[in-house]
Amino acid sequence: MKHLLFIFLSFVLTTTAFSQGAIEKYFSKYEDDENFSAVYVSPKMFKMAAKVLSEQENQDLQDVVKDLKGLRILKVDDPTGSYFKEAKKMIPTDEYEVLMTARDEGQKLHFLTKDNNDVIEELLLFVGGDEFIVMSFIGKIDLEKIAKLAKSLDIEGAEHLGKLEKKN
Amino acid sequence: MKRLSITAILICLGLITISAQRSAHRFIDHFKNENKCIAMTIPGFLIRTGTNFAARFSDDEKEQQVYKSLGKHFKKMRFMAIEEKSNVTNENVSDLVYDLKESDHLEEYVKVRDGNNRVTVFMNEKDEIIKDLVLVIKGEEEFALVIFKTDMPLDVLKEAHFSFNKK
Repeated sequence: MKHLLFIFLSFVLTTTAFSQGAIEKYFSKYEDDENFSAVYVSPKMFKMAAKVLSEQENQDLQDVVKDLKGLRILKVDDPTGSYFKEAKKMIPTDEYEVLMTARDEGQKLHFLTKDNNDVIEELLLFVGGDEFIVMSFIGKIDLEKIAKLAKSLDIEGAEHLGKLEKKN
Repeated sequence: MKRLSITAILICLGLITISAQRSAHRFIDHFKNENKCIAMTIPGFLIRTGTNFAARFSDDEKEQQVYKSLGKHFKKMRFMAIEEKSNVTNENVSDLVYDLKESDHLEEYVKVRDGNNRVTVFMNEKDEIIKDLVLVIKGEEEFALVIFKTDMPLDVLKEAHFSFNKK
């Protein structure tokens, strides 16, 4: 029994590490590519931001920042849709739960999540169309608050997160 | 003997102070003689004078205090800016970024790149005090490197009411 539990735990841990690794690999592949725009915010930055955000700041924003551990964004012109297809092949999307898919003015939106005991630990957003955007949030994620964050932040592509609010 | 020990301690302290930013200083030393390059070192007391002077232009008493308390925690600033056709290549910048992380053990806090424009923020924070802050800014043709040596507590930044809101 102990043996079985050990095998099961090893399997779960390996699968998690593999999918994290695939995302890391995808971002590493393109973050220095000049065709791409890239944003990376480290866990330490979020930790620091949570401490220095003024009390005047929106409480929701403080709550979101406090629980986030990392943010990565990649954006590229993709008229043929090749980057979108490649990303979906490279990133093991079947390990995520599809939260929402949408089509909006020629754009395909895919929101994927990975959770642990009903707590969302990763939110992955794919936007395909004339431009391809992939956005990865790591941390303890409250979808409603993330949607509100979209309104506050001046980050390209963040406007798509607003759709999460409609879903909720 | 006593004097020798004191001298040795002072030298060691000096080395510790610059060790976290060694790669950045080496980079400035390498490129500072380029055409259209400005390189400058500003000591802490001059930064304080500057922030105190800036505070005078503010009517808001709280804002004046923020300027003054921010200025107090900067120990030193060194920067280099190259305008027009800088010889700093993307490879040079990648090497610098690698050295800052691997040799100087600075942590990459934020990285933003859009085409050929790239901004990277490195920090070294200990016990909620920012010790080192390095900004690497690479444009199409321009380049800037800013190095701060500070003892900035995060509480002081909180007082400054930084906001991430669009407005």
